[in-house]
Amino acid sequence: MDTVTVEKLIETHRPRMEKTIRKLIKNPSLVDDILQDASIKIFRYFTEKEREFPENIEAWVTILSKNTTYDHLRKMKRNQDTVQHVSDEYKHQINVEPETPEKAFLSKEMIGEVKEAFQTLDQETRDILILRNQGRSYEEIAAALKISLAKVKTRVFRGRKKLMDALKSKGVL
Amino acid sequence: MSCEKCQDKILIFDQLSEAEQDTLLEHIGECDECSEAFEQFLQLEEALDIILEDEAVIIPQKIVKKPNPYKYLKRAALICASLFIICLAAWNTPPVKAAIEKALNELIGNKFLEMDKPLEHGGEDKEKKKDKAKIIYIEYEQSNGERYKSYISGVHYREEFTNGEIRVSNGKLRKVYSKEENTFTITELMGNASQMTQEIFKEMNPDQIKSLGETTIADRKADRYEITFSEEMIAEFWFDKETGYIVKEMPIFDGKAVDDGPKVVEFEVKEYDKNHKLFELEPPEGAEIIEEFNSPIEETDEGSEQ
Repeated sequence: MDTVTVEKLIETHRPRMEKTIRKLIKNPSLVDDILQDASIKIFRYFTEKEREFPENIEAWVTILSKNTTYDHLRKMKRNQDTVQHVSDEYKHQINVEPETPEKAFLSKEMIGEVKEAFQTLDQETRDILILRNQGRSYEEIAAALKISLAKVKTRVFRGRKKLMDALKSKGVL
Repeated sequence: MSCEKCQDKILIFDQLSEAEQDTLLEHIGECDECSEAFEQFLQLEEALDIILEDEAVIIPQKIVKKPNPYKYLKRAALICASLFIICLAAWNTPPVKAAIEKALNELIGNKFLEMDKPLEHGGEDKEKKKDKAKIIYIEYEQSNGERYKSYISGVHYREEFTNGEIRVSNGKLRKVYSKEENTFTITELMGNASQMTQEIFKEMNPDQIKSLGETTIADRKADRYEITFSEEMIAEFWFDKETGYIVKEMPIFDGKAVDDGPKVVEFEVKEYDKNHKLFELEPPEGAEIIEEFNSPIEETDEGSEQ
């Protein structure tokens, strides 16, 4: 893909990227940094090799933006760490620039376990987490499911906690 | 902050304020246990992103609501469109484009803050009519032939229906008295209309707005605009020329505007004494009071988890 087309693609999806990042991070300057990184990733992805255009570009851009945010948070955490406690294997993985936005290092086993644990949640919590992880804001979820904002937030908290506990007890996390 | 509390906060990282996120990250940087918990949270989120990407949520029919950006727009689209026309000549010069776009968005942002203010008397009238308030009065006719009245001033509105239902809002709270059900519902409104509209326009380019010329509605002149919010959401808006208020809003499907909303049968700018009580509403004696407030997560008590 030529650079002009890629630049146009980035420009078109910039609002979506910014919105995705802002949902996770509140610090505006950090949002700018992540947005910049995500734009560079898209640029490199399409200009360094001949690529097939993603089937669902919106979802692709959203996932890439989220992953870039997670990477930034990890870097921040790592920079602040004085004690290196993350496994060497993991450190290696997060230092590698992903070739595609879909991360490779989440094992199939882990994905399977998360799926299983997710099914143990009640329907309402499942619906809320689906909408949240698909990029809806808390306000949008409350409006769509016609429940209070506080309930959405509480359900997200309890749902994540339950998943975390289940995965920890299975030794997945 | 205790590690237990910190680990709970990690689970709601995206709900925290900027300051709370900064404090949390600082603690995470100093604490092995919380650092590990944060890493686990990021992994969980990544896994959820993957497994939930194609999941669908069945939303019960009765609560399906099409996104309705109209009510947040008011004069916004008009302002945007006017600026677009002004900027059109310069727009085709590429180096100028970015600067104009930025200025345009900022300008619109500021204009939106003005949108929440009530109509004002202009020029000499300002002095003479200090004790008078300008209120937009609109009478609508619904598809079933029933009519209702609407009074609007900035973020305030009052609606009166033929079945005795009355709705008032000050932009933060909406109060609805239902005569039929004898209930008085107070709802905390989410977000601020102007802020939400600002968000809409922040992501919008001026070429998403098209002027369709002038028209007449309820014996008043109005400007027609077509606004493309996304590929799936295109709508036509009519703005009253004098007040900039939206008098008609129609979604466009397959290139055709669908006019299925209530019709404006009367539109007038009325004057009321400053101390009018139009936007006040108290619960009648005996009415059941229902409160719908959004409380912070810590104060929520929903009983045991299922």
